[in-house]
Parts: sequence; structure tokens; C-alpha cells
Amino acid sequence: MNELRNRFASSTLLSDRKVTQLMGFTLLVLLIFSYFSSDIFFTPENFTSMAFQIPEVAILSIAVMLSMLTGGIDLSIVATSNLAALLAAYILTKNMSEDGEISNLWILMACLAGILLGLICGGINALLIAVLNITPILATLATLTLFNGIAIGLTNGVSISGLPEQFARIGNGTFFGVPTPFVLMVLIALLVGLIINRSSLGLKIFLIGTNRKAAQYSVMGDKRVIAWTYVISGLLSSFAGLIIASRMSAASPDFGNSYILLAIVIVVLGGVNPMGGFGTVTGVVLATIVLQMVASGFNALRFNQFFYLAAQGGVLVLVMILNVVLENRRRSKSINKSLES
Amino acid sequence: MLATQTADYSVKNIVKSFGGAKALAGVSMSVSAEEVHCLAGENGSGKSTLIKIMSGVHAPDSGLITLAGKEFTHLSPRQAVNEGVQVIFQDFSLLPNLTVAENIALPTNILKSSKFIGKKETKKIAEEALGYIGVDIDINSPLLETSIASKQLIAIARATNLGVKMLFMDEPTTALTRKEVKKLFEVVDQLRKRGVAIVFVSHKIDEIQEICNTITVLRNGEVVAEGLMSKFKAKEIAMAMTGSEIATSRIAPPLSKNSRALLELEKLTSINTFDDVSFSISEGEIIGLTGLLGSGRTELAEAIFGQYPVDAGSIKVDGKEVTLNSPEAALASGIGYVPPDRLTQGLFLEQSILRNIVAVGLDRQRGRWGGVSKSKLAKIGSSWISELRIKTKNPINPVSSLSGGNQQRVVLAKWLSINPKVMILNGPTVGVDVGSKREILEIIRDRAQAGMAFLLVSDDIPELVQICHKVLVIRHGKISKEFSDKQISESAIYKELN
Repeated sequence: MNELRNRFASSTLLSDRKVTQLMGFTLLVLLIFSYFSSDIFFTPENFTSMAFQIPEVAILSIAVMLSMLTGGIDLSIVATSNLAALLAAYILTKNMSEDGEISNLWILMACLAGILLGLICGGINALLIAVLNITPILATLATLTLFNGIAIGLTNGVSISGLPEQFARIGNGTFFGVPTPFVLMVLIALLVGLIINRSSLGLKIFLIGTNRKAAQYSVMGDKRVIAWTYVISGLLSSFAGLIIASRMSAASPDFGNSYILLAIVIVVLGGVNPMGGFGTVTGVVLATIVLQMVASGFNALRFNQFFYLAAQGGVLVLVMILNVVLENRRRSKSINKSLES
Repeated sequence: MLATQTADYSVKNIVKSFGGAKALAGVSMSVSAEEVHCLAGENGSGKSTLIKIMSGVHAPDSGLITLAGKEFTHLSPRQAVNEGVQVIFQDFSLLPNLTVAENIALPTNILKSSKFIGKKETKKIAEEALGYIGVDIDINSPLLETSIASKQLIAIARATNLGVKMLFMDEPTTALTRKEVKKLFEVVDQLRKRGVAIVFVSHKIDEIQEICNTITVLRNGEVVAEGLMSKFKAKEIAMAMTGSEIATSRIAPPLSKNSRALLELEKLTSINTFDDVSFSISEGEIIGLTGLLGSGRTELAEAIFGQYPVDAGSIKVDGKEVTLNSPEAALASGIGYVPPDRLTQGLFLEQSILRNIVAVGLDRQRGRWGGVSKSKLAKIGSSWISELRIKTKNPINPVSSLSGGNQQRVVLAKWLSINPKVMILNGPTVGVDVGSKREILEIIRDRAQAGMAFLLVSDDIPELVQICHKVLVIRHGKISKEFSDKQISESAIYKELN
């Protein structure tokens, strides 16, 4: 019975293998850069700085992962996070005194307002996709433009900066020596991991992503489940937006537009099947770490910054080739095995 | 005529292993022109491997292949086609986005290495091919819009175009109604008369007896029976296939007199689909529902499951009137439904067997905080694996690794695990081999004895005769005839259907 439980616990073996591969890859990247640049890369300062940069992308990637597990996609994450950040920033700047003082209650209110807006944005996506049956990529492309447009329209494209000191301290502070954003990311990753692995909602997400029709015939409320993934995605996006605003002490309508593609790339790199049905939070977080290390390592080695993007792309291509090769070998092995039985 | 000397197409002592496991252990078979040869055997007996060797997909480890007098130790697919060997696989390998004509002409164009394809030429090829087998299908319609029966005929037409001399048909009747099967057999017979050697692979013993002249039965990669069809009785074929005697007797469990009705339909109507349908199923009763494709049987079944709109009439479950406008409502009132297409509607193929079994009613497993315990799910899954004797080494293997019969048990387990009052089964034994079929029927019987009510929608008349207390025949959306107990016989039902 115990053995069986272990087997069931590792029932996402396919993606687990990808996680192991990614761990190896992370270690490899770490070793290479540490070897070549021990004085700059392998220093506490560098790790701290990476720990500040990783969380926002990681949280956005986890948001994309949820929709991708059901076979969909959410392109509106960055637009949602900017909108949430702007609302919070607006409330903060309106309610602080001349010398930048603000009560903790207003900070809390501003954050809650941003989170609520994130939920509303996610809700709109959920409505379009789950209820009206619009293809996710089209629906979220439309809301991406809509949310972005609202943000630019209301701010005239100007960012809101000079947020209160107390608010900026959250995103730039540390918690027992660990950057606060990183702690928040770990908490979010754990929570999402718990949802997708230990709740009926999570199991349904995997099953719907594997075969929507069979899910309908298995009466698992597929529309409700899909709606939830976009609502949670909106929620996570607003978290990311608040963290960014706090770290930058500013909110801007066009911050991090390149994060959309980056998040999708990370999710696929992290072993999530773009067709849905398989994937792990661990994989996604590891993939974010790998890419951040490549960025920092590049910096540390004083390579031409302009080639950084190429290096990042190169890593992706490499990992995908590795994935395909290993997957093919595994498949032919398992075919032989099943024929033997 | 079964005479090895005149056999045009034969294999001799074919051995084929995959990674140490012998799929074929010295198989010999010969088929002559103007003969329909039955290749029978359960899943995993080596039928597919033999077909793949004769059509050049696999190379044998040893043995000799003779095609039209020429001897080969191994073949390439191209060589096989050049010698006139064609295979129609179960999925037909047709292209749904092309028209009928394009589908028929495409392989011909490829074989001729044509760089350009003319519309006129395409239509000519298609018309000739369809004319050759004597069927009439609109060649301009997209394949997507044609019925399964037409697709089967289109696949045959395509094969004849390539100069077919030997045709393998892999379970061609699986999704066909009796009427369509008859039409198919006419075409097969015509091909035979024109000198094509046909190898017919099927599980359905009554059909192979009808169309085949000779037979080879494989079991575990060896030939266990061969000879003229007329020398074999149905029972002997089934026994050769399974290695044990498969009972085909009626096993409908006795009904207790005062059992209460669990499902009552009263004048159920869905405009243009089914009309004025009334019947009831009581505790432990198994009711069969059959009819041609398009008769409204699947729609009726799905209407009871809340998947198909109902315009008038009422449904009572366990005495209470219910409105079933969604599968959720049906599930809540205790109705389960096993859909007809196992692969696309029933299973999450890439997911584990365990996850498939617990897919229905997940919310009922929710504990505090809304979580589901993995060990609890594993326990439920493994108890059903042993209860329904699902053969697997490891329950976390993907369900796609199972044979058809075991896959069907997983779909059954999925629904039985929530213990519905009324269970609707649509084609529960399609594509399942003889031995497994009987076992699935026994599972149904056991559940019925425990009080579950069953509605069994099926094309497989022998199966209905074996298990049902009552068989309803639906025709143009109306129940045209009702057979109960002693009136149930294969011939009577066939007569009503055609």
C-alpha cells in the first residue's frame, strides 16, 4: 500500500523527470559561471540581487502555467499586473503626506485594491474563455490590449513614481536575510503547488488539459475549473505587479512588456506541456532561476550585454533539444519494455 | 479452395521478436486469390505484427514472405505496395480536411510521383475507383462530412486504385451497423470475385463466419487453428482464440418480482430526434437498446444523461421526478454514462490508470480544507483495479498502455466507483476481444445483481441476447419493438432491425 502511495504521489513522473533534468541543468549553469567568475558571480551580493529579480518573473510564469495546464494560455498577465500596480500606486500617492508619510492602513488598502483589480481582470478572462467559449489566445490577446489601453489612457502613458518609503521597503527589504519578494514567491509557489497537487481542483486541471471532452463526460465542471485558473492567474499577476511597484517605487503602464514571452518560454522550459495536462511548479521556478543565472553570469563575465538575449535563446534551444532527445530515448525504451511484458 | 501449392500470398515460419519478447514464433499462413481469409486472435496474439510484416512495416527476424510468386526475406513498404499489398487500418488513415475524391486519388498521385495534381484527373481517378467497387458516394463532399461506413468504402476504393492484389482489412465492421456491414460484405465479395486475396481481421465471429472462406487463428504468436471456414463452429473459433471455452449462454440474472423502478421515462421527446419514448428500468434490471446509426439511440441515452436537450416528457429517478438539463444534474440524481468512444470521450489517455479511475466524483473525496488525499485516491483506484481485474503492472502507467478490454474496464471502474443508481452503457464492448467481452458482461451482471439498473446501448446483438432482460429496438426515434425474456433471440432482433 505504501509503495502504491509513493507511485501515485509521483504520478506526474513524466514532468518529474523534466524537473530532475532541470535541476541538473541549473547546477551545471551554476558551476560554469562560478568557475569562470568566482569573484563576481559566486558572491553573496550577486545571489541576493538575483533573489530580488527572480520572484516577479517566476510569479507571472506560475500564472501562465495554470492556464497552460488546461490547454489554454493567458497573455494578459503583464497588462493585469501593471493595471493592479498603477491602481495601488495611485491610491498610495493620493493618500500620502507631503514628506511621503502614509499610514499602514492605506498601504494595506492600496494592496487590496490592486489585488481586487487583478481578480476582476482574471474574472473577465474567465468569462470570455470559460463561459463564452472564446479561444484563450484570442480572448487574452484582446484583454491584454484592453487592460494596456486603459492603463495608458488613464495615465497618459506617464508612470507614477515616488511611492512612499514604507511601501518601497517591502519589496526591497529582507526577511531573515532573504529578500522579501523571494519569500513571497516561495509561499506562492508552495500554495499553487498545493492547489494543483493536493486538491480536487488541481487534479481536474490536469485531466481537463489532457482531454476536455472526456472531462465533460466525467462531469467535473470543466467550465468552472477553467474559470478558476484564469481568476487565479489574474490574482497572481496582481501580486507580481505589487512586488514590482514596491521594488521600483514606481508603477508604469508599459513596464515589463517583454515578460509575456519570457513567461511563456519559462513555462515551456519548465516542462509544462503546451497542449496541457502535464507540468510542475518546481519546474517553472527552476526554469526562472536558470534564465536569471544566465543573465547574471553574462553580466559577471562582462560579455557584451547585447549578446545576452542571444545567449538566453541559445539556452532555450539547447534545453529543448535535450528534452526531445531524452524523451525519444525514454519512449523507445518504454515501448521495448511494454512489448516484453 | 485451400491449397498451399496454389497460394499466391504466403508467409512461412515467420519469427519476430521485439526486445527479447517473441511476437510471432514461426507463423505460416497462405492466402490465395479469390479467397476471403480470416485472421482471428485476441489483442496481443500477433495479428497486427503479421500484417505489418506482410505490408513491409516490420522486417521479420527469420522466415520467408511470398507475394505473387516472388520471394522476400523482408519488404519495404514501397515493395509491398508494388506487389499489390494494401492495408486498411481501423482508423482508415484518411485525411478529414480533403474531399472524398482527393482522398481516393492522393496515394495514386504519390505513387506516380506526380508533381502537379489536376482536379479533373483527381475526380476521374476517384470515380473509376468507386465504380470499380460499385458504390455511389458524392466525391466532392469533404471527408469530414461522410459517415464511418462511407469512410470504410472510400478506404477500399483508395486501395483498389493502387492495383490491389492482397487486401488486409483490420476490424472493418467495428463501427458499422448491420445494414452497412451487409453493404461492406457485398463490396468485399465483389473484390474477391475479381481475384483479390482478402485478409479479414475481426473479433465478431458471426461476421467472419458469414464472409470468410478460410481461417487462421493466432494465439500468443502461434497458429493454433487453420483450415476451411466451414469446418469450424463458432464455439471452436472462440475457443481457439481464447484457449478456453467462452460461454455465450444467457447470463441475465433473475429479477425479483417486487423490485422498485429506478428510472422511468414518460413520453420523452426531442423534436426531430426521438419521439414519445416511454420505458422503465427497475432495480437489477438490464435493458438493451439497439437501432441503426441515426436512429436516435445515442441521443436518447445522452438525453437521460443531460447531454442532449429534451422538449417534452418526464424522467423519474428512484420515484422522484427530475429535470436533467446537464450532466451535473444527472450525476446528482444518480445516473452514470459510459460514452461510445472510449478513446476520445471516455479516457484521459496520457494520464495514469489511477487518475482515470477517480476522475468522476472527485469532489466527493474532498476532505477538510478542500484537499484530496492521494493515498485515499490510490486506495480507491487499486481496489477497482483488483475488483475488475484490470491487468497492469503499475497503476501509475498511462491508461494508453492497456489493451482495449482493460481500457474499457477503467472507464467502467470510473463510473462504478461512485455507485450510480442507473448506469447507461453505450457500446461497452466495442473493439474488445471475445474473452474480455464476456468478462465485461459478467461485471455488468454482478452489478445488476447488487441492484444497479442498466441501460445497455449496443450494436452487438449477441451481447444483448446474452445479458439483457428486455431489448428495445429504436427506429426513426421511436421504440418500434420490445422483446422481453423468452422472445429475445438474435434472429428476431436482426429481423426487426433490417
